[in-house]
Amino acid sequence: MKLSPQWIRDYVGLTVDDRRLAEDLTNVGISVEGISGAGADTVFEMEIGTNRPDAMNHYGVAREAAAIYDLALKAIEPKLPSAAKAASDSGPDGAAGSRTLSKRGAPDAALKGRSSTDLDSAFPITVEEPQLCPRFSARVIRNTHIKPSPEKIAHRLQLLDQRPISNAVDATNYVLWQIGKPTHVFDADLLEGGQIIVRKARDGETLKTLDGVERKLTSEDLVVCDAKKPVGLAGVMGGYDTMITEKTRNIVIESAWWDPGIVRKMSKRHALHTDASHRFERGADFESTVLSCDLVAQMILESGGGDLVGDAVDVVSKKMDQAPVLLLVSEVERILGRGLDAGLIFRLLKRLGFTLIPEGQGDARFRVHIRRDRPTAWLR
Amino acid sequence: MAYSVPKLTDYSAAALEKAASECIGACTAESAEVRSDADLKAFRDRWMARKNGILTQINDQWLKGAPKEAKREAGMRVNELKARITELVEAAHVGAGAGDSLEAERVDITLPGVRRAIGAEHPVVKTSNEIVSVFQKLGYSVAEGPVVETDYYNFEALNFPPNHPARDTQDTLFIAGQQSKPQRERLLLRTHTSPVQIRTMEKMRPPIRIVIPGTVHRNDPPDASHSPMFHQIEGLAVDTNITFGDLKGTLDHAMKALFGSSVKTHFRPSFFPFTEPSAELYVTCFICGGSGKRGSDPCRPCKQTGWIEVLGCGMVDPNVFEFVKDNGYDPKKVSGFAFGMGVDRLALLKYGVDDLQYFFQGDVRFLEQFG
Repeated sequence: MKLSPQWIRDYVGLTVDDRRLAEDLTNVGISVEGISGAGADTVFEMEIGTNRPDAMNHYGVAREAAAIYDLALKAIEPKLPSAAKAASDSGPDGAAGSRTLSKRGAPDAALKGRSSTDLDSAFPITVEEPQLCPRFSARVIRNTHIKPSPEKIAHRLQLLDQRPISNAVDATNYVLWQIGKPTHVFDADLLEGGQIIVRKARDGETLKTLDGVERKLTSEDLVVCDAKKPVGLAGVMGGYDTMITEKTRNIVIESAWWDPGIVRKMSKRHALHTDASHRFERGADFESTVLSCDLVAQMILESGGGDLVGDAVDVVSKKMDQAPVLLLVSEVERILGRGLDAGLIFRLLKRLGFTLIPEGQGDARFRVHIRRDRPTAWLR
Repeated sequence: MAYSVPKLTDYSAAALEKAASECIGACTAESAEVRSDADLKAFRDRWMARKNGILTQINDQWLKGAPKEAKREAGMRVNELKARITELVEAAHVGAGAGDSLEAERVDITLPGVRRAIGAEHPVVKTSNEIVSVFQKLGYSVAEGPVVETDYYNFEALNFPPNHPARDTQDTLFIAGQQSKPQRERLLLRTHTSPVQIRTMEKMRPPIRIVIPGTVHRNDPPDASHSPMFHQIEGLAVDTNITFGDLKGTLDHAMKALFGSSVKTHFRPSFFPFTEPSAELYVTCFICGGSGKRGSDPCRPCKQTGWIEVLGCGMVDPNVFEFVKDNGYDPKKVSGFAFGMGVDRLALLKYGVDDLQYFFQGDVRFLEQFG
């Protein structure tokens, strides 16, 4: 996959040049196989292993660079019109931070029910499969205009061989490559019944996906639906009939966490492998659903105008918590062999976004809280 | 006077005997007269030709002309005669006559002897044996396992969870018709030699030190650098005190033993489901010496980087030990490292061959160069 070193520099104040950066990233396992282009248009051709979905985006790689060079990582803070601003965290690496959804302190309400009809939002969302869709977040925008993306956005996408389509669609693409969170935008007026339901498809239902292919669905498929029909193959691809066109004025932004197993099965069954399915299969970030909705909303509002409707809707059906891991410095020595001092371990892990809490006396034990986007991180 | 087949009037045993021995006598005499290839052909045709050869005539006249009571006897005699004549005709050769035999048997003793070709070791086998021997000298034993494996040994016990994307990285060739079996029992062609790690740990308690050469298969269309069938060598060492430092030291030594004491090694983090941490080992390119260039041209084997990737390795993932815990592999008490390398690729580099397919086509003109 392609990444732009210039874009990476947005998030970390690097002092080394691109070639050096490529070498150093490769030496920590984020392999840069080739470099093309020059200056601000340089592109890295990356080979990122299946165990590092967190590094399949610019912010993730910036985080690695921050750890390599012991630099601070800039937080990503969406700027939304104050009326609808969600009290958000300071960036995707606030793993131990709190998650408040709106000024009403709605987290408990969201956890209790699986639908959002009790929140002040224009779009009711019902999740019938909480195990497969533990989190579904959305934002609604009204009275916006669809137009080509600003030059800077379009240019960055083109560097990555992504075709710019329209400001709304490009915003989802941009945020995917920015923080690695796939999102989707629907034309709100084409969602029949003005609501969203996440459920299994019924045998016989069909869905024409964005690539124009008419697909037969079965009860094995997980789909995002409106009141009448499926409008998206969960975590894989959105539907053709609800896509953004120049006529679109109202938009629903969707960002969810999908069970990796079912996304993989659907991807194989329909022979549809997308940037989204690739990330969901390997475990996307549970925490950044609202953040990604906010970032997409910000980009659409800035380029196309319009208003936010209410707060972000965040339906959390199942809390995905990773229990902290006990890190024993003696174990590090037993396996790696060299006396890595606790100070270095602490510093590196902290830069990588982990939170370490010393336990007991001295430096020998830490309780480590794992960032939500490193689902299989193994620490010894 | 040339022999011709007489008509038989008397079919008694004695008469048949006489007629047969006359015939044999005539044949022997004529065969001794053969002086040239043309004579030989003429002789053969006269006696053996289907249409009018003497044997055919004998068949027609003596056998078919025999009265009913004598047919059986005549038949036996004729068959004997035919066999004997055929022998004589086939033994006939140019210059068989007396006086020519010595000439024909003369041997020129100044000629060099007839050389029997001695087989040569296939370059891949040779490379494999070299690598194995480096580790044997370090105290490693050789272990082997089946080429047709089960999903359990090839994936599950090596920490590839069912339906996990990591399985896609292996391009597996599955045996058809296995759908009725539970996934872990389904047969496939092993994609790496790693399954033998599990098989060995099931049979042997720690400490162990093994090296595993073997054939593996993947769904790769054959081209200059790929083949659906190729060879790997795996290594595994487990004990109570093995560290990543030991892994680096062992492999650094092994590379120097194989490629010369001046090669340098370089480890880079990587990922395999069965090792944690995982790494890839690179050695300085032995074609360009690490410079990335040959004269002013770019060095192709190392793609100008000056380093050649040789193998994957790492510390055995504790989840793997869990599968053999009952045999003494408690991850809290033992630790170990494992590595795996592709042999054909190394053989290509070592012998300067540019197309992998030469190794597998069985063309003797290529292979005999390694003799």
